[in-house]
Amino acid sequence: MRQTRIRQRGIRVSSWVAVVALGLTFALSMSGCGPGGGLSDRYVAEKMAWRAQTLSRAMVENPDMATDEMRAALRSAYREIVRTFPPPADSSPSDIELDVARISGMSRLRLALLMQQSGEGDRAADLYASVVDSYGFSRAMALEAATRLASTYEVAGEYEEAASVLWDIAERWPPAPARDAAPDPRVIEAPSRAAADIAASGVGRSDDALRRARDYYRGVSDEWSGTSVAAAALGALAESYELGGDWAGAIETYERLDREYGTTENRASLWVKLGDLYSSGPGDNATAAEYYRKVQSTYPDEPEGGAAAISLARFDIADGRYAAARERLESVASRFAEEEALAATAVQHMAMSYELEGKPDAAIGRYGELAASYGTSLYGLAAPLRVVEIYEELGEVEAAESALQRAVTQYERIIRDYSASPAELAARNYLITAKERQKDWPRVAELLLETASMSPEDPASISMMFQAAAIYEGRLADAEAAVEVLRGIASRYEGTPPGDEAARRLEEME
Amino acid sequence: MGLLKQFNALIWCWSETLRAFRRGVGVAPFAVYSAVQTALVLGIVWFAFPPMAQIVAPALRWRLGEAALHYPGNLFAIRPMLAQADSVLIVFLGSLLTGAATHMFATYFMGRKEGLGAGLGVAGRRYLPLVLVAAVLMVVTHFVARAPFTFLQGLAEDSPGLFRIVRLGAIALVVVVQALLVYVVPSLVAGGRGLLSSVRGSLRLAALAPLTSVLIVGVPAALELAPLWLTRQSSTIVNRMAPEFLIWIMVLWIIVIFIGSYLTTGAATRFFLHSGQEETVAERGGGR
Repeated sequence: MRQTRIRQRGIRVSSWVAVVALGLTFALSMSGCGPGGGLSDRYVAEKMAWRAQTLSRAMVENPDMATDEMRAALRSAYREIVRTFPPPADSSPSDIELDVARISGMSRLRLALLMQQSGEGDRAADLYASVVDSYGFSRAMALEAATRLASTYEVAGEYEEAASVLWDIAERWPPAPARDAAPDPRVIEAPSRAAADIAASGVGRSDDALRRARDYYRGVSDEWSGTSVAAAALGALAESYELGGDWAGAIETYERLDREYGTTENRASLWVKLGDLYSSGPGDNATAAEYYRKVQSTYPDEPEGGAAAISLARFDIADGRYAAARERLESVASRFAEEEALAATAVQHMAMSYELEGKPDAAIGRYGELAASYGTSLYGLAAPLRVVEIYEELGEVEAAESALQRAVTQYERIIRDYSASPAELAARNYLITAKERQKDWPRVAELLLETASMSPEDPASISMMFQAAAIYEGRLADAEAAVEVLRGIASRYEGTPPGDEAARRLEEME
Repeated sequence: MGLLKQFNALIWCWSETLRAFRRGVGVAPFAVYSAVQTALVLGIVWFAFPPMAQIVAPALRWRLGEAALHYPGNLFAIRPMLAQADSVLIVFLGSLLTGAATHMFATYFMGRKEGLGAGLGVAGRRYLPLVLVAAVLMVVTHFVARAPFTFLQGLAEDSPGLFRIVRLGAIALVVVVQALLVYVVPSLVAGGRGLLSSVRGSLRLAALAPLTSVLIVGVPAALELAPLWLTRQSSTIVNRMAPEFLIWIMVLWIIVIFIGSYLTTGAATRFFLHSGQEETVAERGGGR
């Protein structure tokens, strides 16, 4: 009897506990069904942003998997955030609202970037403009949006609009968030960019724009005197003088920069710059050489020391002091062997000095060294064809042909070994030249089309395709291949000037 | 007891416990504990939504800081929050429920079947000693488990291999301490003895059958290694899969804790009764 009671009570209690547990679980699940206050909004926004970022990261980490479908999913994820979380209505949001606003603002920026990448520049510009207007409480976002808006206009060739946005940037935001902060390049560079855009537009007066930019930099350098912002403003002012060909203004500003803000970190490059300006501007090689010598003696182990030595060697070569020049250059090449660009420039100047001295064999030796040791550098890529030219100038036809074949082999090796690098593209262009010299027209046409396909939107690539069509038609008398290439251009660039040009030529041929 | 006999006893205790499980004996107390743990997990998952925003969110901020109030920070916070809550729950709720389960096992092994209410009634009358035992075990477990991290931080950097051995030693020590006291609750609830007498009896029984006692505690504890390993991979799981996987790992952990606690309590009660120290639950009217 007692046991039965106990059992009944046990069942009752078990049932009660089960009901409470079930009820609690149900209440919990129901309470999580929709966003509530600010905390829930932020949580939902963070969750949505996390998903979008995961997708974006996967696409960056595995570019091969970045299919159109994934891009569409990413776009849709950002669009959903933008739709769910409009810009904050309050101009001074709370911390939690600020977090939500950051997520929605960043999502707008990312969505705009995706639109820009898919050629929807106008829609991207609208989105950037909405961030500039509605997220003014966040310097980071509004400034980033304004900068990208300007870039969007520049890409679309709307330079006046771009300049207007850039001037807004310069006037709206201080050049650094605080006096002890580093200068923000987006603000500091804005007036210079605006002046360049006005010049590119061909509509406004570029002199006025340049003058306005200089006034801005002078104002910033006074207002922010003694800070790194003032130094950056002076640097930008000097560059604007250089851009306008005002050597005296540029030299005076760089010298002021050196006097007032020169440090062990920036002085070497400032002195090299001043040396270059004295030399290329007023042609004052004596003062230029003084600056170069100062760099060489104060910073002998810095790359600027090597660059100064090469500049001094250039003066020696110009004055016919070839041996002295080569001594300097040998020293640079051996001391800066690891600095490929510097060492290659030194060897190039040695080769040039031999050429000017009338010692072609020694020059060929140096060019050979250049091609072998620094084959992918600017000078190293040009060296094999320069050897061919020297042999041709000497009238040594067989040697020139042999050198040309060696050049072809060298460029083909670089194309193979440095695939998908800038060196590959440069080597392809040199190989096309070499093959033209060999009059190997089928291979030239093939190379032109291959190279063009690497970056089909590049205007140079379009020109290459037309060249290939011309070779098929003229040199190889293969009208069918020429028509095929022109048809490719006409369909790919339909409705654009190159597409129209291809269609016109097709009509002529048919 | 000889080793083979101890091993046989262990297998028999487990098979008896599984037989009890098939009949649903002693499941309710552990189910209640698992439900509380699950509610805690869900509370942390949905901390941002009402009514959790008023209760769980301040607790999360208090214990783990502002980062736990962001996604997926709250999912990373589940394990430490659950561990902290468990320290309190085990002492005040777990002790009561373990006592109730012990009574339910004991009556079943003695030939009857009683429900959660009866179990809670018996355990409620022994609540203070049960809480004391749970608190001592909790303090010892925390101290021994955390000692290597507190006192040997330098060793972890200088000699990671040696530090790992020390940590394993600490875990082994925790298992030994728990094995020494594993029969205290059966003795309190099913044997009806006083606290000191139960401690002495537990030590004596553990000394008599050390292998059985260590394995009664150690094997279920070893089951926890799998979810523990998974939680250590939290960052990888979040980055490679989805943060929500952390919830499922915690659910797995709760299930493992359920199984482990059930096996330990059932087997310890069975072995305690088998060892002849029981003073028949039936004679004492279900321990009352």
